[in-house]
Amino acid sequence: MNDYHEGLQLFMIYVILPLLTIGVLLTLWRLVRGPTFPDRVVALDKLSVIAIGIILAYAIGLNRPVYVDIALIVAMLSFLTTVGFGYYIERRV
Amino acid sequence: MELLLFGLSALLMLISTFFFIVSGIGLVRMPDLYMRMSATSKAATLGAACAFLAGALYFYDNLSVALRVFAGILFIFATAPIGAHMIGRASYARGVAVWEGAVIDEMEGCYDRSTHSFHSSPQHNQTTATTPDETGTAPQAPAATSQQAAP
Repeated sequence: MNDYHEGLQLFMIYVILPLLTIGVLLTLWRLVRGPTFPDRVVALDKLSVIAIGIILAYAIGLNRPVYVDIALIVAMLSFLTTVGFGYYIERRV
Repeated sequence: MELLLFGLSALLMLISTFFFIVSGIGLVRMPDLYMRMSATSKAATLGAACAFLAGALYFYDNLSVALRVFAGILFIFATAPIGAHMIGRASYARGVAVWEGAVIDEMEGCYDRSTHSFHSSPQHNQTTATTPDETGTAPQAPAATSQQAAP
């Protein structure tokens, strides 16, 4: 651990995470407002993709390489959620 | 060397947040479900890939992290178009309206509600609607079956 590590970690915590929060808020606006149900599903899908970015920023900011695994799992779960909602939207009459 | 890697990592993370914010703005401002889906499925995927690459550059001395990052990028690039296509197809079949300023809707009347499948032309759909036992005329039948998606 040296100054470079510390600088990048502080950059992740104090610059990247607030910027990612802007994207989360924009997506939440669509999730709440969305006129149709598939709009909300798309917003939920994008929310989980931003969650991958947040987890990776935390992995760098807290210096934990294990968190990359969690990002991978979240990616898989978001795909499963999207496919499940797709079936649900189409079959519902 | 380390300064270069970490600078690249910070730059990639900034690019990824830029793409996330751009896709959020697209999600809010676009007038139509299908345009919103194009904003999320393209920009957000690229943002996630940039974030993964930033993680790989930060943990450069840990090779297993690089392998996981490679798998993650491959997985996201493979599954994001599939999910977006699935949501778009299902919502069109359910009847979500396209934007009123849209010039053309080429899929209009091509969805068969009884079989949950899309046909290549509206005429073929009308023949199946009147006579459900027959699968259309001979020249149109192979195109229709190739367009048919798995239920």
